[in-house]
Amino acid sequence: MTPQELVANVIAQKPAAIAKAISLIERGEHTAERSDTYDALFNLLFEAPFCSQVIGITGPPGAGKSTLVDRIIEHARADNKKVAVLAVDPSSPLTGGSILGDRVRMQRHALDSGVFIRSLANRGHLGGLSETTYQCIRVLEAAQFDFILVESIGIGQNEIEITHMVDTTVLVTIPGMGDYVQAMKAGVMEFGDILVINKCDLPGVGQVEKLLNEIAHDRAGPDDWLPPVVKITANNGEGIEGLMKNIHAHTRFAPEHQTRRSYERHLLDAMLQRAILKRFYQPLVATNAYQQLAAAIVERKRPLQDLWSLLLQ
Amino acid sequence: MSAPIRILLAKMGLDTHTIGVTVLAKGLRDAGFEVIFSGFKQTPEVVVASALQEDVDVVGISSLSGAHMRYIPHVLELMKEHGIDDKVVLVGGVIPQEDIATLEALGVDRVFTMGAEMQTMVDYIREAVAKKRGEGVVA
Repeated sequence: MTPQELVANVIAQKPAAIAKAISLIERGEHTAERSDTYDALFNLLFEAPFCSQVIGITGPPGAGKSTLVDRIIEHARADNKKVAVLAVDPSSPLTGGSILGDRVRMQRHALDSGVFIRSLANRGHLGGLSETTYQCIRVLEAAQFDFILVESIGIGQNEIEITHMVDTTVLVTIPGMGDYVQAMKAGVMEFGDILVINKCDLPGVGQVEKLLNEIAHDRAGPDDWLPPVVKITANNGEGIEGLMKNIHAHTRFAPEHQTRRSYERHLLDAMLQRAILKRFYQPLVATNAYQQLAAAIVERKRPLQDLWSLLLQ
Repeated sequence: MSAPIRILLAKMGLDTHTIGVTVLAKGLRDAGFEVIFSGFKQTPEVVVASALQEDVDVVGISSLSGAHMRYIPHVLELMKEHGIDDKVVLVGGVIPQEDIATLEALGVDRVFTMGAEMQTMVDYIREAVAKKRGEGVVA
């Protein structure tokens, strides 16, 4: 398959092509020589238009993120919307291995041609996602899914990367996590667009609800989005309707993918930095002229000024 | 550095013997593989759709219920149909000697039965995936 064919098949929403493209993107960072196929896919990042609502689902381990994703898929499919899921789980820092188990909770949608589910290991990347998650989002957006759901690994106190690369962040907590919520006040709680209490069939809902409402009101200025606190029980589907209404309301409040546009600006800056390093810094450092001058400067035999002169040559 | 090996673990039908596949998942994780669980009591269709979307290198099917000849040929057929019969297919569990040759003739790469060592399976997977990917043995 030529690179053009692969990209065309992604745009034509062929599941096998989408799956291959994500693997290539994931693998791409590991290859010294980028292949033409990788380049063609990478270009998609800045070529395919914005056409998906990207929703991030994040929260501590065991909060019910995967079960909630399953319910959102169900709801979106009832509206005939196409849904893609990226579910990130941690890799072992010791062995690099991982068990990716999120998919099990969503498996009833596996045969639905309007649903695509992909498990990603974070492969040592810190922040709650994998290094190439945003590129994977863009591959799925090129395939024109209406919703792209991104499920983070179970987060601790400060893993907020997901909030930069999605349109709406849903932060999931559960009753009995009052202390956790307190500790999160300066951290992930400052970023969730929608604050969800899952497992509302458990005792202790009122306490968490009160805390979340306080946090939401502390955060919001007069023209800002006031993060709603939504009570659900993903296990039996209770409250999902209300959550979806809030997700749509947030889309109307922030319609132009501004968060993702800023993130892409940041990505471009980082790419430029890497390109400059490769094109200018690495060749210069490898020269004898630099090596000798650097040694001489450290030995106080030549002035630092000579380094700036060398740079301008 | 090579990308980590991705392997889908599957159990189909009314097979409730889940301990073997759970132990295997941990062993493969500790060998540095990315192990994707497709859930228990699944159908061949769901297993193949999962293998396709996850773009795994290996499909590992555990069967201890005696229904392997009912499900595994169907998985192999569906993989061919979806153009993903290039993956390594492994079977593990209680498989009578006389069925092993049949399964291998149908396209299963290797059958591991009771008493197979974790290291034997890990080594086999590394070698088989390296061959398919056309590279040296994947760490």
